[in-house]
Amino acid sequence: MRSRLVLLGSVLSALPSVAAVPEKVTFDDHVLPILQNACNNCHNPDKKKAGLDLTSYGTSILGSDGGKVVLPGDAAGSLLLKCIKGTEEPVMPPKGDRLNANDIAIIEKWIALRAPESLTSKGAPVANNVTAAAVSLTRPSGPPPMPGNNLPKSPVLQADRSNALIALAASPWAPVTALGGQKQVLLYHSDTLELLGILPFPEGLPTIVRFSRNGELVMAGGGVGAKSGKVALWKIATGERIATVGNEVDQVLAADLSPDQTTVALGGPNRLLKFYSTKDGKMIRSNKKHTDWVTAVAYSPDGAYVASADRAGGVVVWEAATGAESITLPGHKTAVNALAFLPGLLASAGQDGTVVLWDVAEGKERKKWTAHAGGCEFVDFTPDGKIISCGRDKVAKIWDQTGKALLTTQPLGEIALRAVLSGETVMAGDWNGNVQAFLIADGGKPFGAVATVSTTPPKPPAK
Amino acid sequence: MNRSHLLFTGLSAGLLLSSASLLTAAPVLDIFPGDAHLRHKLDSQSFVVRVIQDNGIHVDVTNEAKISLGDPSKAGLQKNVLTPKAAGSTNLKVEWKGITKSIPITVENPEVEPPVSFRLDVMPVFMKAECNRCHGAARGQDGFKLSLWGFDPDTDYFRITREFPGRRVNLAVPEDSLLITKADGEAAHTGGKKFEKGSPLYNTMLRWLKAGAPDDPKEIAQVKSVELLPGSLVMEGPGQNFRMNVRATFSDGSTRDVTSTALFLSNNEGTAKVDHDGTLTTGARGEAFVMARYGAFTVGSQVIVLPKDLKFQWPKVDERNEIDKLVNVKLRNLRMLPSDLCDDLTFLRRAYIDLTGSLPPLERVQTFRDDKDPAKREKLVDDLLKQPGFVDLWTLKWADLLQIRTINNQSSTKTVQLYHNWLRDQILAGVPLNELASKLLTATGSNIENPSATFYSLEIDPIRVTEDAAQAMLGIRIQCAQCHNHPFDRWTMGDYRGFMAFFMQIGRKPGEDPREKIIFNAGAGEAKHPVGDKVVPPRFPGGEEPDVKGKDRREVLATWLADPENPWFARHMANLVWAQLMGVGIVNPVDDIRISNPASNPVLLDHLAKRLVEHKFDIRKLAREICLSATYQRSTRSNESNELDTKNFAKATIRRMRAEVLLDAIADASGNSAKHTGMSQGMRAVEIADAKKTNYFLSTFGRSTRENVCAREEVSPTLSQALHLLTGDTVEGNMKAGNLVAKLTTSGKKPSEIMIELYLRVIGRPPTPEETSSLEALFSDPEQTKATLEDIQWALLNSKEFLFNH
Repeated sequence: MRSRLVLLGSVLSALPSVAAVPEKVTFDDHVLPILQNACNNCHNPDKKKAGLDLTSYGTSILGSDGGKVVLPGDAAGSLLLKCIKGTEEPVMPPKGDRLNANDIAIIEKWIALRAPESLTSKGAPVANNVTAAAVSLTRPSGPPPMPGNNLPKSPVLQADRSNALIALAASPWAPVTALGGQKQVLLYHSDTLELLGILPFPEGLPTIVRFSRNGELVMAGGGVGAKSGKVALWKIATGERIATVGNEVDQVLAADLSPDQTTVALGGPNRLLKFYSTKDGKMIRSNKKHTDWVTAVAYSPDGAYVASADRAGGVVVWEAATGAESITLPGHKTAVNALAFLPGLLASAGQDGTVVLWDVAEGKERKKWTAHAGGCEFVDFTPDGKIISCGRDKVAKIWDQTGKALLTTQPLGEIALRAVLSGETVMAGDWNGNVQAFLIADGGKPFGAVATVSTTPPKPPAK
Repeated sequence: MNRSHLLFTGLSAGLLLSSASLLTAAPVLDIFPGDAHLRHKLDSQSFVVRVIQDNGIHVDVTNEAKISLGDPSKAGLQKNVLTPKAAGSTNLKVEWKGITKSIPITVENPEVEPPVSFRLDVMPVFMKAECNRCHGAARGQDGFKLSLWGFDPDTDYFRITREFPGRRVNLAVPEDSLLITKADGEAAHTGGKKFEKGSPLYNTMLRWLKAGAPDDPKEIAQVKSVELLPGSLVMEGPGQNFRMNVRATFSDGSTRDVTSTALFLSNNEGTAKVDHDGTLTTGARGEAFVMARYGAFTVGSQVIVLPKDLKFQWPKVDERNEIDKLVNVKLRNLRMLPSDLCDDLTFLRRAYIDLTGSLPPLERVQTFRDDKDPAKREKLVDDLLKQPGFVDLWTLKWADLLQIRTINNQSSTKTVQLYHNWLRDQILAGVPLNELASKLLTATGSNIENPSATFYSLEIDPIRVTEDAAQAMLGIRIQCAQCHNHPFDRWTMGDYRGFMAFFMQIGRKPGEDPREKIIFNAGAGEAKHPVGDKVVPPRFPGGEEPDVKGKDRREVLATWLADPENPWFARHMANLVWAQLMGVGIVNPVDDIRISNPASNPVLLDHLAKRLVEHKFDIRKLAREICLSATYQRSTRSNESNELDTKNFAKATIRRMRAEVLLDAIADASGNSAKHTGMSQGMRAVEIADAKKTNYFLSTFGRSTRENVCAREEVSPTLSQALHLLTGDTVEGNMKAGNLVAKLTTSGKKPSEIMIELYLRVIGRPPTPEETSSLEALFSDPEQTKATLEDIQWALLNSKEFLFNH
C-alpha cells in the first residue's frame, strides 16, 4: 500500500516536467547543483543549520541532528523531500521561493533510485602533486624561477570591460607579476610588461594571488560569490596545476601558502580560518574566532605563524603548526584589508586609512600612520623590508619602517586597490582594472605604454 | 501650497467623485492617467480604462473597450501600453458601449536612448525587489547593507560598487555580479529569488552593469510627486481585478510611468490585494487602503469592496448638518445603514461624560427626562459647554499632549502646577487653539513668571522637542525619519532635520529660584543632516523654507502653525475633538496621521477642519456642532448592515470612561467627596496637574504616564482592573465614605424609591420593570433592606453599564 502511494506521489509531482528529469539521477550530477542554490547557504559545513550539511554526498546521507533526512529508496518517507515539498514542518527553504516542481522531481527520483552518488568515479579526489619545500629566509641559489616558454598565452575569457583589480602579486625573486583576471591568472614580465603566460582558473574570479616563498609556485584563491571557493597551485616553470584545495560555499577572499608549501590557510565570508593540506586536499582544521568576513591571511616567512584579519577590524596571530591562538592585535576599528609578514613584524592595512606595524612577539603596535585617506586597501613588504601600500586616495606609496614616505606614484584613474614592488618596478592596479607600472627611479611617473594591461587581456588584433 | 496639501485635495476629490457618481444614473468613462508623454526611445506609458456603472460600481474595462490611436504613426499600442514611434502629438481614443473618451499623447525624441541612471533606474529596482528592506536593516544583512528603502543613494552606490571591490559587481562579466546572481536565484541567497532572469528588473540592473555601473551626473532630476490612480474605487464582489497606475513627476517637469517599479502594499489584503505589477484583486466585503511606494514617496487610494448583487435601499435618514451628510455618503458607498438615535437619558449621560467628564446629577436626570422641549438636547449641550467640567476635561487632554509631569531636578511641583494653571486659564478664557499652540511654541522667559515656558524645560533634547512638537501639535510621528526616511509615510530625513532646525536655537538658563528655568532665543545652532553632515535650513513639514534671518525661528514656526491655511494643524485639532466625542478618531490613533494610516473619511475630516477654522479655532463651537449632529446621537445598538463597523460612525462607539473620569464618577455616584493626595478636599481626579501624582486606581485604569509623547490614557481592560473593582478599596471605600444608602434610609425614603435613585445616580436611568420586580422581591425582610440596597449599589457600580460610556 505504502509503496503504491509513493509511486503515485512521485508520478504526480513529476508529471508536469517529465522530460526534464533524466533517466539516471545522481547526487554529483543533478542533486548537488539544486542544493547549492537552494539549501547550501545554511546547510553547509560552516553554518550547519540543524546539524545538516548538504554540500557533499557523505554529509547529506549522514543527516541532521534529528536523524537521517534521506532514506535511500523511500522518497515519501524522506524528511528532505517532505520539507521541500512543504508537506511537513519545517518547510524549506524558510525564506524566498520554494523549489520548482522539476527540481523536487529530480530529488524525489534520486531518492527513489536509492540515492546514487555519481555515475562515474569522477568524484574521487585528485592526487595532488606537491612536495614540501625547504624554508629559507634568503634568496634561493640558482636562476630565479621564470615561466617557461610553453605556457598558454591565449585568454580563457575576454570582455569589453575590465573588472576591479583585486589580485596582484610579485615574485620575490624574479621579474614576474601575477594578476587575477576572469577565470585566469596572468603572468607578466615586470620590466618589459610582456605577457608570459596564462594559468586557467575555471573555478571563477581569483580574489587573491600569491607566489610561494621560493618563487616556484603561484597560488590563486577565489571562486564564485555565494556558490563556491577554491585555492589552486601551479608550478610557474611549467604552468602545471599541482593542487586544488578547499570546498567552500562562497568565494575565498583571502589565502596564503605556508613557506614549506604543505598547507594553505584560507578565509572568506563564513568567518572561519581553515587550513588545508596541499598534499591530499584534506582540511586540517577550522578556526572559529573572527566575528566578520575573513579578509586577509598571511604566513610569517619562517612559517611559524599565520595571521588573519577580518572586516570588523580583528587581527589574530596563530601558531601555524598547532593552530593555537598566539595573540590578538586590537587596534583597527573598521575593516582590515590586507596583511603582510616579515620575521617578527606584521603590517596591516585598514579601511580607517592606516598602516599599522605590529611587533608580533610583544603583541604591540610598533608604528601606525595614516597612509591613504579614505581607506588603505593593500599593504605589502618589499624584499628589502620597505612597505608598499595603496588606497582610496588613488596612489601607491613606498614607506620606510618609520612611516616616512619614500615614493608616491602619480594618481591612478580610480581608487588604487593593489600595489606591489617587483625588482625596481612598482605595479599598481585600480578599480577600473588598469594596472600601471612605475620605476622607482622615475619618482612616481608611470613608464611606457603599460596602462593598458588589464585584468582581461587585450583582445588579439583582428587578422 | 505644498505637496501634502495637494495630496489631501487629490484624495478628497477622488472620494467625492466616486460618491457623486453613486447618485449619477449614466455610466461614466475615465482613462488613467489623463495624458501621456513619451520622452525617449525606451519610454512607455500604461493606462487603465474605468467605467463607473449606473449603480456606482467601478469596473476595469481596459480589455473590453475599443481602443485606438488618433495617429498610429506617432505612437504604438500593445494591450494597455503606449510606446513612442515618431515625434509629435496624437491622442488615445477609447469607446465603451457608445461612450467615448480620449486623452492627449505627446512624443519626443523617439530615437534617443537615454543613459541608464543609478538613481532613476536602479534604485527603484532595490525598492521593488525589496532588497533595501532586509539589507536596509541597521547592520545590513549577511554583510551587505543598503539604506532602508533607499533614502541614501550616494552611500548605496558606494557600497555596491566600491565598498568591497571585486565582490558585488563584476564589470567584465556583468551577469556574474553577485548583485544579480543573488537576486535571480543563481547564487544562494537567504532572501530567496527576487526576480527572474530576463525580467524588466533584471534587465535594468544588467544594463547598468554593462554600462560600467556609472554614477549619475551631479544635476539629476528628483522625484517631486507620485500619483496612484484612480484615487478611490468602489468595487463589487470577490475576484474582480483593477489595474492601478502609478506616475511620478520629476523636478525637470517630466513624468514617468512607474507602475512596474513602484512597490504596492495593501492595509487589508483580505479585501483588496495588489500584485507586484499593480493589479488589484478584490476579496471579502470591506475597505482597504492600497499604497504605492516610489522613491521617498508613499501614496494611497481607498478601495471599497461590496458583496455581489447586494440588495440595498437607502432609507430617508435624518440629516441635521453637513457632518451627517458626509458620514452618510460614506455609509451609502459601503451599503451600510446608520443606527437609530439614542434615547434621551442615554444622550444625557453621554453628553455629560463627553463634555464635562462627569455623570449627570440626579436632579438633571429627572428634569431632562420630563422636559418636553424639542430643543432640549441642544440646550443641554449649550449648558454643558459652559460648565467648569468642560474646562477641566480639555485641560486634562492638553496636559496629556504636553506631557505635564514633575521630573527630578528638572521640573518641580511648583512649575508644573503653574503650567497646569496657566493651561486651564487658557481653556477657560476660550483662547483659540491655534493661539494656544503659538503661545507654547514661542514661550520665552522665566517659567515661573510665564509658566508656558515650561513647554521647553520639560524636554531639552532637540530631538525629543522636535518629535514631541510634531506629534502633539500636528499629529505626525516623524521619529522614524530621524535615522532613515519614514518607511510608511512621506517624511524624509531632510524633512525631519528641516523641522528640527526650528528648535535648534532655544537657550535655557537657570533662574534665581532653583526651580526656575529661563527660556530665550540663543540665535545660534543648526540641524545637520546625518547623511553628508550638511546644515539643513528650517523647513515646514512638507512645505517651504521660510526666511528666518534675524528672527526667532520659533516665531516663524508658530506663525506658520497658527495660519488657518496650515494643512496639518486644523485637521489634527478637529480630529482630537472628534475623537474625544465619538470615541474613535477619523484618523485613528489621533496622533498618528500617516499615509499608511489614512483618514476613514477624509472629506469629513476636511470639513471639520474647515469648520474649526471658521469658528476661529474655538473648541466649544466645533464640539457643539458635532454633538448636535445625528451622527453623535446615534445609538450604540447595531443593525444587520453596520454590525462590523468600527470606523465609519454608523453607530455610537462604546468606550470605557478614562481613569480620572471613572474615579470621579465612582465618588459622585457614591455621594462621596474624595480627597486625593496633595490636593484639597473635593478636588477632582481630572484636576491633578502632575502625572507623577497617581494612585493605584488611576495607574491600574491606564492613566497616561505622560513620560513620552506616545503615552496616552489606556482604556483596554485588564484583570487587575476587574479585581480591583470587585475587591479593592475604591468602590467599597467610596460607598463607605459616601454612606448614601444610610442617609437615604434615614431620610425616610422607601426602599423602592432608594433603589430608583441609586439607578439614576449610577447609570443615569431608572430600573426596567423586570429589574424592578426582581429586585423589589428582595426587600421582604426589613432587617436586610439596608444591606440589600448596598448590594444593589455595589452591583451597579460594578456593572458594565456604569463603567462604559455608551
